[in-house]
Amino acid sequence: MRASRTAVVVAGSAAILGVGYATAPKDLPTLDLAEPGDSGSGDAGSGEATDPGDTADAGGGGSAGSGSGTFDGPVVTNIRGDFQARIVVEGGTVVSVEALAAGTSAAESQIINSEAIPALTQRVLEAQDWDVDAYSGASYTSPGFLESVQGAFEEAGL
Amino acid sequence: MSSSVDDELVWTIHVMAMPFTVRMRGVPDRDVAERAVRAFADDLADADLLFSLWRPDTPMAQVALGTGSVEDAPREIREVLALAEEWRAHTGGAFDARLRRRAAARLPVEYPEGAPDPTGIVKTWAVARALAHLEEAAARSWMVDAAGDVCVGGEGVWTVGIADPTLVGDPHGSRPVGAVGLGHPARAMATSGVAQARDHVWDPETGEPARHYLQVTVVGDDLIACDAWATAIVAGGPRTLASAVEHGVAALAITAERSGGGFEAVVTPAWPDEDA
Repeated sequence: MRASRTAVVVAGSAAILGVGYATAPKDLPTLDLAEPGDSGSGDAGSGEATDPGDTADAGGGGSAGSGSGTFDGPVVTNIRGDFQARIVVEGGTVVSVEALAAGTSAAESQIINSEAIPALTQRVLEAQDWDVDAYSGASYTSPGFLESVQGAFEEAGL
Repeated sequence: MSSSVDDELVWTIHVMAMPFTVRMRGVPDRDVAERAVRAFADDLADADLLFSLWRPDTPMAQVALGTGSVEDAPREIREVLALAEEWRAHTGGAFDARLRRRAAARLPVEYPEGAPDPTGIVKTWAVARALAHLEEAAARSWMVDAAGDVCVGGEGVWTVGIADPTLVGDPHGSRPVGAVGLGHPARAMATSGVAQARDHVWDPETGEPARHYLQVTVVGDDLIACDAWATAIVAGGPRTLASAVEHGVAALAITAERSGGGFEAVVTPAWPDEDA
């Protein structure tokens, strides 16, 4: 609420898209810092949040209802892509929930907002090959992911 | 081990079921920087253990279940609930940190509808709290990307793209629909939208899922404020955007997808000029 118009600089367009982890020098350290209660069976280690190619990973096992183990939910597919969750259970308590797969891009029709506020300026936004250091977007969770989490809970007997 | 001034260090932390990325330029001592990032990560993990609603035994879950009182809860719980209440008042009720039935149905623990749920502000609160650890690294410049909410510090400018509002999942590698340089003094940028988690934001006036805008991005100097405003504008729609204009908030709201490609958006007067 105290943003300054003058202080914000905008990058030029038309740069080569090479963002995020891909731009990091290859010899840089990448820590995989799981939360303290993590059982260590997760597939942390890549710089990617999700890896749809990893959905066949069977996880660390654990028998249903035993109260401990790693459980992968089903791959849930909807119009926005594939979603799969993995949960880690210790002593009947979920200590970790992660996304093994979390969707792909898809268009979605939306309601047009017709209310006008005079102070606002209209813009048309086009996807461009901006050279960016990061992205600001909605947090990376989805109903598909949560649905897969539910499946993992069922498999865990929770 | 020391690194040359122009090296950029990158860490990825998985906590709260989200990826957090820390990038540093001009780090004088790599080992010191790694310790700083570990402390930062531990701080986020501690926040998760306090606030997670995915398990019934966290202090926040106890309060939401009614088995624990706010008064007896840890200081952090009281602080965040007070912060959420502050933002509810500041946004005319649009930022509403109460658990809705449909959101509650997605959780493995059964909570009463209307239970306090500060999830919408916990992430950026936790990041803001943990940032003190990163200062130990004494980097010339740094950036934290908290699964779509970004803040920077030090010298120079970090260019942050606005993710395509229809994209689901990690936007890295995608084509952004806009870009903003973060540096002095606007250091934070937060986005709230409907694509990633359909109907996870509710219009407090109607009680229905908020579908006013596809996505709202706010730029400012305070990550928590940017996050709270972005969420509030998604929830409250035009009336909250009008309030944001009055408060001088720099916001970009994506209103519609164009049939021929691209998106319609509106920006407040404080929004940085993209044609600069």
